[in-house]
Amino acid sequence: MAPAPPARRIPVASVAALVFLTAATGFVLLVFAGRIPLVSEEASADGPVFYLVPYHYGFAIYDRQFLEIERIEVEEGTAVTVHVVPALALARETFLAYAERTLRAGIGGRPPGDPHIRHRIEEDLKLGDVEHIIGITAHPVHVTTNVAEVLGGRFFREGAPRTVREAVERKNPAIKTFTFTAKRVGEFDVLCVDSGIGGEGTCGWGHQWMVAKKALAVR
Amino acid sequence: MAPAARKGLGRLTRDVREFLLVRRIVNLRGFQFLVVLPTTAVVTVVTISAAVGILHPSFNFGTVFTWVVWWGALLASFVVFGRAWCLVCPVGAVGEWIQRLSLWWRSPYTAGLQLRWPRRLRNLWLATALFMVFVWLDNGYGMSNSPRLTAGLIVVLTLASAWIGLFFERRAFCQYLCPLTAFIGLHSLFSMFELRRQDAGTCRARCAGKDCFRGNTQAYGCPMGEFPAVMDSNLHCILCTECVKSCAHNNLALRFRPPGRDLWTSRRPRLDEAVAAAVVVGMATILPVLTLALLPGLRAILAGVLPAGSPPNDAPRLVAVGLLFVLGALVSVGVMYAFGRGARWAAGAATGGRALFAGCAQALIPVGLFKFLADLLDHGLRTWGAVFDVTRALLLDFPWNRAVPGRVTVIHLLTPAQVYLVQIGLVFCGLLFSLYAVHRVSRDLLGGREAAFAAFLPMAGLAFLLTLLNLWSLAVGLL
Repeated sequence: MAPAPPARRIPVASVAALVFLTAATGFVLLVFAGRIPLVSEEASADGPVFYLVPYHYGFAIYDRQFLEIERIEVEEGTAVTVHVVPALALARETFLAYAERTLRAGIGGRPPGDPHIRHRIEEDLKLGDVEHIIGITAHPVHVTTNVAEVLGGRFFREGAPRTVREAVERKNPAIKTFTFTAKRVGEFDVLCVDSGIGGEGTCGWGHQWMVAKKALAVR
Repeated sequence: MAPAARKGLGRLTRDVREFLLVRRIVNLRGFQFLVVLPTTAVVTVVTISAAVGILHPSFNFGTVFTWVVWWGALLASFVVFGRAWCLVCPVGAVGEWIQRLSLWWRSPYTAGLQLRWPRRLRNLWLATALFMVFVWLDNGYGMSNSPRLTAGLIVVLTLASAWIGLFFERRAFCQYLCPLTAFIGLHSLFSMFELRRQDAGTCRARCAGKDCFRGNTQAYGCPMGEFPAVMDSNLHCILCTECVKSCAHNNLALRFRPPGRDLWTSRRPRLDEAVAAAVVVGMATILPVLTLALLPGLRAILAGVLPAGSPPNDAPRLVAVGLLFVLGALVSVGVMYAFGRGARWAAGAATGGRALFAGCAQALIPVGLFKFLADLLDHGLRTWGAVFDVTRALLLDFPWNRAVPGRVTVIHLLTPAQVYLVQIGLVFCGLLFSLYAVHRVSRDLLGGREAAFAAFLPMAGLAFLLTLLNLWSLAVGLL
């Protein structure tokens, strides 16, 4: 085969490549600098508002008037705002009242009232200030609760709010808020998503059953 | 054609191009493009999902695919196909496409300036330093848990490859700048596959054109600047098969071989290659021990001086990890150099301390490689379920990957104790390969049986020591 002559440089191509790479590099630098957002801004928070209480091991949902509801029901395209009020940030007796729901319902194949459930909840409480990572299936939602920082190593705070309303009105620092647009029609689960290394999540034994089936309904 | 070492394996080590289908595929002008194309598509999706997708690392296709699938496949590929990743890597290909003004055809044109890479930088010093930065980004900044950092890394590397391809000839980025080139190249010395010339006499007597290096009208010269006629290691060979296509004498073979042959048969490593080998081995063996032992204390000391932040922007931790990396590299090189000198002293040789250091560092590569594989095993057995999670997540919102698919799947295939047992097997496998390599290195460098045995002992002792460190650092999670 004939030896290859030196490659012929095409100045136009070199300049074009130079311009393209300069533009691409500039774009990337602007993205790194935060001047060009790649992710669209959060939905505006002027839609319906709900309160979500993750507890050991389930979820309670409240509407804007703090009335407990079965699930969040919205129209497609609605911007939904959810305030997450962790039960651990509430008063001890309120937390225990929520935990009683788990006992009454039974989880993990254990029947309602099974003392093993109470025993495991008490064991998990000894873990201290656990966080839940709240997700809604098929939606861009995953929010880590903010209990650890607020409790600072204690299980419960003295003078903690007794109700969700009180926590909201007193602007409890453990409350986290997220807004999302309900873009898909259907029924979706609210759940604690992060299973951790051992499968027990960051919240303990009952994590794997901590799911509110079809708790978001988008019409 | 077949050296004595290969005769015993007979048909297993014959040129795979003897198979018609393989020969046709390899001889295809578009062979490399065809294998790069799928990875380009996957890496594009990975980059998009990492750049704009969900920030939870267990639901982000980009992070899981990069740090579980790609990283695992990369490590496993070393054992069999050496630098096979470089063959399919789109990052390197981008620079080449711009430089050649073609995707696969032999173009007589170029958009590049075709400058020669500076002589002083034609080594692995920069690549070794960048490899340390790469690992620091993970250990310090938690890059493997950050979708945005992962995307940033891919984009920065791709741009760097493109810029370097525009200014410099061949694949200068892949050879001298890619943060993984030293890591991949050195581990490829262990691989069971090689591309080599078949008959030295044919190259010497019948080939005047050296097309494998210079290229011809049908094929490009070696993009890595290797001269396949004398190439005796996998260090830089990316298996692109340009040389196979350009060789008019059909004198290049792609064949399987016993694992690890390059560790003792390749020419004496240069100092930069030896130091790179020591650093790469040290990153797997010595650094984890230093980190476990010193990081908490060092971080606490630095916390009194530097402003604390929350991870990953935790300045005391970032600096502490950085200092430990530098310390780890220095200790690794120092220890291997000391043992090399010790081997020379034990053998009573007047010279050869540096050669023994270089040989020792390369011979210990299996100890490091199998430690990486042991880490991968643990990681893979714990996180493999995430691959299905992220695929579901990606399909829910393709290619943006913004939606939560459900709960993170955790299915442990083995208990931690069972994993550790397999890890012990892997670590000892590495030790055995290293011991054999040390034996061959000392025999080849010192000749005499007694001197070789005397030199073997200190280097074998170091291999044992590093193996014990590996076993300890792997067991820490169980304690």
